[in-house]
Amino acid sequence: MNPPSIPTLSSVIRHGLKIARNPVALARELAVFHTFYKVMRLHEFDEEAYLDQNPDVAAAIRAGQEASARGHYIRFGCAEGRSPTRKVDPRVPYRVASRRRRRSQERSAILAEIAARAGREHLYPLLLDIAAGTGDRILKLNRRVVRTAKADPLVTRFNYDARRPEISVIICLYGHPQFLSLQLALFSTGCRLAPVEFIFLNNSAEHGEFLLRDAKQAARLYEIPVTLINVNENIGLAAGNNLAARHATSSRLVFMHPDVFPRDHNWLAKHNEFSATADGRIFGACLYYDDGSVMHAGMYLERETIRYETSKCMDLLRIRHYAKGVPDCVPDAAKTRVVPAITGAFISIEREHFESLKGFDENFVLAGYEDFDLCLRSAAAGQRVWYCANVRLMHLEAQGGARGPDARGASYVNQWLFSRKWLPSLANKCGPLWSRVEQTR
Amino acid sequence: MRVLLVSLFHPAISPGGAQQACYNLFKGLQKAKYEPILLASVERHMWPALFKSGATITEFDKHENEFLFLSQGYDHTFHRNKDPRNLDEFEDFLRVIRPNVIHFHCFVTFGLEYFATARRYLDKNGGRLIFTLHDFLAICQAEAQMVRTFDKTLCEYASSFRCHQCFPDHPPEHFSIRAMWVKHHLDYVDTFVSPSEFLRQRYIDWGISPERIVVIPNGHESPTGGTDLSTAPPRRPRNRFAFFGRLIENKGLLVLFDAIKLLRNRGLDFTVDIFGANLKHEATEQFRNAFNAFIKQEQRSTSHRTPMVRFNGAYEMVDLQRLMREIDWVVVPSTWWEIFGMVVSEAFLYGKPVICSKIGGLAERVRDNVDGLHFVVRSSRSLAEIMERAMSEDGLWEHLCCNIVPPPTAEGVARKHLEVYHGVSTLAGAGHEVHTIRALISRVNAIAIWQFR
Repeated sequence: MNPPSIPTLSSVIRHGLKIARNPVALARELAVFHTFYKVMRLHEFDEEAYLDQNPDVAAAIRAGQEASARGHYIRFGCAEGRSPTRKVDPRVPYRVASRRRRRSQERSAILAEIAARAGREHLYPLLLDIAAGTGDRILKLNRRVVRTAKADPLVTRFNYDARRPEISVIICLYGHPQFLSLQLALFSTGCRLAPVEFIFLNNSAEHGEFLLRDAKQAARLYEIPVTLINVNENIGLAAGNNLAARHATSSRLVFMHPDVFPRDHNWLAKHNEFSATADGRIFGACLYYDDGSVMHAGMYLERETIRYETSKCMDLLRIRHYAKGVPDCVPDAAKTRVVPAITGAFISIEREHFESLKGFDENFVLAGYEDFDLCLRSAAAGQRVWYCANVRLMHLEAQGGARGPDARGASYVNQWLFSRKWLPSLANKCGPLWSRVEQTR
Repeated sequence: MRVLLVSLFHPAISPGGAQQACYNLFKGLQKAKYEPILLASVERHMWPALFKSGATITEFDKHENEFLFLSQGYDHTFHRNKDPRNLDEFEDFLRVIRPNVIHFHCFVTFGLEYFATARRYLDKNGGRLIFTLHDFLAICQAEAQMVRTFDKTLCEYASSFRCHQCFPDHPPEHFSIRAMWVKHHLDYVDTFVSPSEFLRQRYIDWGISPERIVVIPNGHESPTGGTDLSTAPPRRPRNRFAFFGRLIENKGLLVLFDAIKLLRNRGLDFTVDIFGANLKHEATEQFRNAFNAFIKQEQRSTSHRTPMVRFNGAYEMVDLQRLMREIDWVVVPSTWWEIFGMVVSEAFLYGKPVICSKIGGLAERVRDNVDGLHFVVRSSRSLAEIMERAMSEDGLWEHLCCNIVPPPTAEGVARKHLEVYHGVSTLAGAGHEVHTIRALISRVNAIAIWQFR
């Protein structure tokens, strides 16, 4: 038998060109190569990491539907593109990291420019520019930043035991990592009575190291199961919350801001009481400032007309809060009722409902308006949003996250996006009296 | 019973009232045949050579049952330790020495989380967690002084806005969080000990329930030479004053200096001896300059006769007997809330009446016209008047001397602590049982009420 002849360079190029011209052949070649590559990596298979990164597989194994993690990987995971090893940052090729970084910097620069313009000129031309194309450009850029960063999170769990959490509290950290310990300590007193897990998503990559150490210590010290998810870029609240929700292990999600703290020791009992009712599929709490006045008792929309040079005008939607800054005895704060929306600082939602709504709309850049959007979609899907006056917490508004010029710029883009999405259908549903015609409890 | 005493620094490393009180208790417990174990912190800048690489808790200079905690990574904003390794080592240390009582005398240099760790250990193994309050650190961010940062006036109470006035860079919310965070960790404590009723009241006003705090004064080490000044003092004008203490601004030396100037203008004959140290390390530059200028001027203007004011440098406990023999009055012109005033104990130990500012722990311990004299805090004119009265009024000194009650000894104080350690104190409050689930839940409820109010 003749030894196989070594192909010449020209024959390889000819073969390559022939395949490249034929898309079907190209796809087949790539699929074969992909499978080969995956099998090559099988020796690196890390069962613990695989289960950490794929909670659905872990659940399937617990339920007895799947025999082993390795088996799942060979039969499905490999083809579905799941990673056989723990995903950590150094594995990301430098090329990808630098491209991601560049996009993220570009996003920040455009947003900061918007914030700067808003400070020195009239809003109308700025909003016109956003509507004319800047907005869509940022959305596209943001989608790509979010997609790359989300594909590569580092998920670490601490202090989980045999008990299955009943509630998953989800918090996105940005800029102030110390809030992780502060919240765990202050929530631990009330959370001893029922198993509650805390899922922190860290949007500031530079604090990842510190948070890994801190979460480990705090989880053990305050006896709370904690999941920490580190991403490489600031993916904002909507995408961050969605990503964290995927790693929740309970059927009830509570989205919180880092500067929310318990005010009553029995907030959890009251919460559980309301979430067990038919109206409790999605609801918000009464939030207070630290001076005792009301910070949040539901939100509504107001139609805002921006006028420019006598003849030009533009309509936008603006979010307003009921009873902000007043004592909690006013009816708006004291009454449990249906409201147009509740703040993202505290949203309690049934996981199934959250998933049926496909989570927060990740088009919203960084933070703002995604909470109202979720509530409107819930109402549109037939599940009205409740404000529960008995569940009381403290929200030290604007303390929990760093707020740079990019965040200020993002609020204009989000307002434009939100208005574009909802103004046509909501134009006559604005104003604080909206809730008066709705049902109260 | 094995008692772990957790102290801020070792008195042999850095002298100070709180660490001395803790060390005296350590000695007192030893005499009472208990098994005290001391864990005293040290910071790297003090003695870098003590920091053995990779270690957190080490023995100290062959002192039996005395250990050093090498404090690293301490965060002064929220009073926590950012190095989790330290906490692990502390937990291991607890498991090795197996204390029945863990008695903190500070949390600074350790971290508030150490209360949580201690509680976790005690919940598993039984025992009590005690915390002696020596300062306002839990309440006040301004170096625990409760003196306002912008105009140095005395602060009566802390609130988010008042603290924000002292630290405009921190929003009021920061102080709300700080208070909640500190209170959360203090909730792990079974019983608080306060050396004075004044400090106890401040913490009650801040939110700790009265039944959780007991008052036990700091104990005094028995001097080796006894307290008898042997020779009966001759009858002569009682015009010899002395100041003992650290040479820092809030000990009120500048008030004393102004009073001396006023008295000299009236042509009175008296002497003032100043004993103290720490001028170089602890005092502000402004104070140091004012102090040096006054002493220099004093030496110049009185060079032809005996100087009225003498600066004698640092003193040790063993020197006190000799020094006290020479003087009549101890002046304590502090301009801040003295919590306990160890110097009052030192004066009373040798039967010397005290002239002090009418403030905080001083006003509580020194009874006006009974065993000392009060003057209006920060008022040099008031101090001058009182000093003039002290040296001129016939029989006053003898009258006050008769009423002086000896300060509590280390052994007496240790005995009082034993009641708290056993949880059977007849003093108000120390009534927490060893934790059962029911006790835990009722504690959770009780806590929440004060924590969130």
